[in-house]
Amino acid sequence: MSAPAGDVTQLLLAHERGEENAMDRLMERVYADLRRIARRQLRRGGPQQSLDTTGLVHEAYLKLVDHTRASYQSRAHFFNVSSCAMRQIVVDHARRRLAVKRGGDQIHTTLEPDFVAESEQAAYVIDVHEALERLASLDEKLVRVVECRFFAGLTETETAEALSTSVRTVQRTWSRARAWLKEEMR
Amino acid sequence: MDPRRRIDAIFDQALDLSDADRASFLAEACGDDVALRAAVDRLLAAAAGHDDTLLAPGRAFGQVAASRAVSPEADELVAGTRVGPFRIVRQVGRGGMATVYLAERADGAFEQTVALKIVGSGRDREEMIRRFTQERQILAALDHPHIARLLDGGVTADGRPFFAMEYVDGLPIDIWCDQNRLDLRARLRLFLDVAQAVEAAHRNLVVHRDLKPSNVLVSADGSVKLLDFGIAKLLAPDADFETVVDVNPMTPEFASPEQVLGKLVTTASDVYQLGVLLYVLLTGRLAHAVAEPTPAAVIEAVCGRMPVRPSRVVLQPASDAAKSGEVIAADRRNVPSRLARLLRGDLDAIIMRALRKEPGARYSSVGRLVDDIVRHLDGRPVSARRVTAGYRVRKFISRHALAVAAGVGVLLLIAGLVGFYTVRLANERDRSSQEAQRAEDVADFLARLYDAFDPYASGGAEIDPRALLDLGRARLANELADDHELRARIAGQMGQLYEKLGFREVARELLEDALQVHRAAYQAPHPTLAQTLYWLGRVERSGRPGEARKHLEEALAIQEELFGPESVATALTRAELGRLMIPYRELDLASEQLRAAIRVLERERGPVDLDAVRATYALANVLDTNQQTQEAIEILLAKLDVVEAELGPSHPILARGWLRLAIIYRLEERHEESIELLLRAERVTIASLGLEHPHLGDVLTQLAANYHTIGDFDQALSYYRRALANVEDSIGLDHPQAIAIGYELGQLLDQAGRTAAALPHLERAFATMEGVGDQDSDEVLELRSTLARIHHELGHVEEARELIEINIAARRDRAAPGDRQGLATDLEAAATYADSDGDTEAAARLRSDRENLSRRASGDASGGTR
Repeated sequence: MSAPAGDVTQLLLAHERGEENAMDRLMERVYADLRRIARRQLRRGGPQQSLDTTGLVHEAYLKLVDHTRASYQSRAHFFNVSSCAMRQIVVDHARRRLAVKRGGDQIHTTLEPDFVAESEQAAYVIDVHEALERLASLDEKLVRVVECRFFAGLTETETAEALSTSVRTVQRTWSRARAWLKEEMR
Repeated sequence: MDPRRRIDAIFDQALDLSDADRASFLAEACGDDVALRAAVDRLLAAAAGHDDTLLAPGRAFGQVAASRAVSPEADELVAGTRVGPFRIVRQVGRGGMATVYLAERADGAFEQTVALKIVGSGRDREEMIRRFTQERQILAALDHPHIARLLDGGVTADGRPFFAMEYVDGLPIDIWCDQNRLDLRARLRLFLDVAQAVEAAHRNLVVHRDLKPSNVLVSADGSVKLLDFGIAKLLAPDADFETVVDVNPMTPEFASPEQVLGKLVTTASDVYQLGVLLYVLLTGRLAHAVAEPTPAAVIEAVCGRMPVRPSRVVLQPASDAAKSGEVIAADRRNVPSRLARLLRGDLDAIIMRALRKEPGARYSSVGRLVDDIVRHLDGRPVSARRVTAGYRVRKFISRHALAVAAGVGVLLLIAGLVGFYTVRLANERDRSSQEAQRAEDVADFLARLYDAFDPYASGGAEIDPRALLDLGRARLANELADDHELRARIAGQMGQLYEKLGFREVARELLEDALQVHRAAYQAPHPTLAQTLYWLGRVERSGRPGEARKHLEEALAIQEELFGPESVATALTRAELGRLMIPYRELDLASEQLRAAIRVLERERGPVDLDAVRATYALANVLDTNQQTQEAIEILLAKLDVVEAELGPSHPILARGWLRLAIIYRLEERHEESIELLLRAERVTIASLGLEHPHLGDVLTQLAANYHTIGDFDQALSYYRRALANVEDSIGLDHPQAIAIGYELGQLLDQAGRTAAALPHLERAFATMEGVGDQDSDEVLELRSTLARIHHELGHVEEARELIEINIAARRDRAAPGDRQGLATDLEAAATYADSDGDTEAAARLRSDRENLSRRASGDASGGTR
């Protein structure tokens, strides 16, 4: 366990007490921690540099939150905050992958299957991200569900918890979101 | 406003409709707007399509990661390469994270052929060497004919760990068995060699951790060798956080729940993996198919679902990739139906015992597993079949605590019933073979319902408990149309499930059907008849108490005649009757029945029998209602002490008692104590029953009510919202409890000035109250006034005027003197709404009506004082 466990927990509790600015500080902190864990995961994965997003958020939760002090709702709040941060992290990662591809690494031709798969995946992630930006004015909740499910890899139940809504609503919003994304990304 | 919102609104509504309804709805909603229609159609087509391989949840990059557990080609070593004291001859295989080479001793010390296993990714070199040195002594001591010896190990020049092992020229055990067409007994004997080798290693304190067919080779002469003993531990050290979510090093299909969850791995994990291995050997199928290697999917498959019983899985159609049932049976010199019969019973029990989710519930050692298999081969009774209902239920509760998926509440109940019938089965087997067959059929039917719980089969959506039961009901009608007696028995059981879920209508239908059959079948008093009457009584309790009472009294009469007044069955019915008397206000009778029930149940089953505890809670309710609050609190506190001491601090029944006590405290205005108890109850309920159990909704609602009363609106709002989300998932939004919560939430939002948010909740509550209740009840009138005001505030003047006029007419019809105040207020409001509508004429008329009313009121008042 790393030392800063207390910080996130404290901020979560402060946020639950309704302290001013706690949300912003929590967001910053979770973002920084998730990035740190993501970087380590990438190092561990060797040259392929793949992110396992689902594992990341759960790992972060286990690692960053002191479970003896956190309230039950802390988990939901943590997932809520993390899903926003994960979108940023995943998109940044995808942009870097694409930059590597475009930037002169000429030895990799587009015919190498893994490399193609990964660039496609990266481009796809950025497409989803941009389509979501366009959908923000349609329905903010829809965007949040995609962040939780797609970017943070939360289950339906976890998403429902994170967004304080029901599983049914999540299922429904998720199918709407998929249709809208397809429409936006045509 | 975003113009797409209109498209979205129509799309959203259309999603709910059947194809037939959809066409006419779309025609009406879109009218002549061709572009709008086209946009909605495109969305609907997109929602219906299945090609979302890329847009799968949680896989922003996971998919790529999973397909690359081993990096290709890059790490391949060519013949002749030196690795430590060995020289590579050729590659013989690659696994999930390592490559295996045939190699020979290159330092000339002596001649030796070895299998050289080189782990894919680099690790901390010094750390690896340190660990290897530490373990080498222990591993070297593992000298067993069925264990391949570990000869040497180290780290390659580029930092990858390698292990040199005794080279075994053989086939994975499952393939070898199939190729040699071994029958079940021969497979079991071969498996015994494997298990005994593992047992020997355990005696040397070495846990394998990675047992799977590719680690169990059989050489041409038919002898077994286990590979890789102890290596998993070298690579995945204890207490290292990173192993918690990193499932890659394991083969997920063969991982134990504690491995997947990163908990302590002990010999029990090997027992589990031996169970998975035996499952494959006997059935030809995997105990857990893992659809995708993401942690969530693996956790769900391994920790969330019990495998299908071996005897059943061999009769199920094979998935695309797997061999067909006929081929699998033929590999075992058999046909599927006979194979199923051979597996049914002992072997089912042995395997399922080894595959328990909680390590402590499995065989306590590999030796015990070996004993049971030997007993089975000898035709002696096996220990695994001594299963208790409580045991099965505990298993499901542990499943539930993981909160893996919805629908667990029902599964829990089904499990309880299956367990109940399994026990009954054991008792009845000796008595009458026909009764035994009946009980077995019921258990079997219910267990198959549980098989239907497969999130993948349901298209990735988490299953809905109601849908699960409806499936059972449809099957009941189809499969057992002619077998009235069996159908009645199962209908009775399912009626109980529906009742527990709050779907009373369906429950009543099923139970009444069962009752009819039982009445025709049993001339004399019969326990099954009494049982059905008892449950029907429970179903009718909240809706038609008169009926309920009749049923329960009849059940009680039968049970007293059959079992005497002091029997458990009689006590259970008494407890129910006692509860029923509460709304009747026959409180003395209620407490008499409950006390009698408690006395018998405690004597027969002990002080913490759940039915006795529940009856005690009901008794507290009776006493509290009867103004004996102090005594109510005392018996609750006393019972809670015993329950906590006997069942531990996290048992859901404890939370139920805290809830009861908290309600009393709330009514006594002891809000602080009430809230404290409820927060504890919330934690325990979530941990033991999950987020979607209706009992959580009760706790959340009480919390909201407390906060509401003490004026903490934010907390009240948040708890009502959570309560509503809970009831939506557990009992549906149409349940009276959901309506009640929605009503409270709407009132609160309205008080807080958030009228727009309040409106849908209140409208929903209103529609229900209007539909079921007295049209002119005070509540309906009051709520209609409120709705009119809200509509007016939101600028819907037309709706406001329409509602208030209906209300004024209704109040005039009632013409009760007490309504005058309400009528006056409504007239005043109606005038205001008319003004907003620019209808000054109507406004003036309404004001004059209001004046007349006041004058009459004061006239009456002065008349009254005369």
